[in-house]
Amino acid sequence: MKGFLFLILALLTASCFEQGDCSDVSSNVVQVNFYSNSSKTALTIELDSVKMVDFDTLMYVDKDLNKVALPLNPALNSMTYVFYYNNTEATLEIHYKFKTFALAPDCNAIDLITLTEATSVTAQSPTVTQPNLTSTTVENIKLYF
Amino acid sequence: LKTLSCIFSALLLVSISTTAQVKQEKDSVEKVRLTAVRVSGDIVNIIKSTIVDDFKGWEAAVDVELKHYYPILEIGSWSRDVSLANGHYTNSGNFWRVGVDVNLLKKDPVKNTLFFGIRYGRSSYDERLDYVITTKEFGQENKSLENLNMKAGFLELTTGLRVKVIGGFWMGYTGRLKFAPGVNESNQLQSYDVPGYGLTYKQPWWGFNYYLMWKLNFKKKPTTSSP
Repeated sequence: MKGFLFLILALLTASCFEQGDCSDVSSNVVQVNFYSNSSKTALTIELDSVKMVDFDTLMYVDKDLNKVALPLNPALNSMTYVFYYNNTEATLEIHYKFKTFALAPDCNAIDLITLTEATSVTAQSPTVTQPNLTSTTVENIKLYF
Repeated sequence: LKTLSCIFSALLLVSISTTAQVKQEKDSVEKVRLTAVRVSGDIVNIIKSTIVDDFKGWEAAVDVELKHYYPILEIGSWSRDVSLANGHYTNSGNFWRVGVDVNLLKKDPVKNTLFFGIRYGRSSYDERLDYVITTKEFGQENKSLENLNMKAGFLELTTGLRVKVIGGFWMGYTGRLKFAPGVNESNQLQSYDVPGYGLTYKQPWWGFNYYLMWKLNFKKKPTTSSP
């Protein structure tokens, strides 16, 4: 009898223990910080704009900034951005991959994005400092001008 | 989960300490030989299949009696169909576990069993995730991912009780502390649930089975006495 009571108790409580943590720190935004090519220190750029190639989207028009946050398309595995500044341009190409998790019942399925490569056409080769994109990351890529 | 882990750990500790406290039996001259085979059907998974919407499964086991040791093979199957906030996860697969239980009640005349044991489990399964990713820059993106022919291994510590009810009919339960799931993580879709183990993000995880059993005893060969 005690065994059956334990069985019923176990069945009734089993689903409680399946509740997971719904907290989601995933992000599709890559944090790009600007650095001086010569001194390697933080650099503020007078940006004319940043263009998201293939999407005809202009961002950060006429801004003085030392960092930008660039969104990555979850349907693709690479994105290209062109930085226009001081009548010149620099192209940043970002490659990335996904790991997908179902967090728990009634929580979201999420894509965690990991940067696999970042290349620049005209600026010095960028450095990936933190490949994993999360909502709390302050720098993923160092971009040199 | 921590509470359950503690309970399991405590049960195992009690079992182990009980063993330590039992006076060491003098080695009997009785040879270790196959004296019984027992077939078990689990009712927890059957009941769970009827009352829990996202689960369908069954489990069965067969163990043999070798003195105080019970080598056991467990087989089963389960599928899950889980609703997520932004999608749907399904899996389906089969699993087996092999291991051995050690009976602590060494002097029980009918061989009722208070045991602890260990298992190694393997699972083969398919899983699929359909979900929607929404970003403010690119809107909604419908995605479907699938892992086919997945394999996973895991370990368990077990403890439980098996009691003779009448004739060859027995009943009993097994509590399981599951750990060390080895799952292929190279695919984009990370396994959410492994049949036989459970939720991969729960480490350790636990399991419980209540068995109805039929035990077939092998009669001892009659000894011929010389005049």
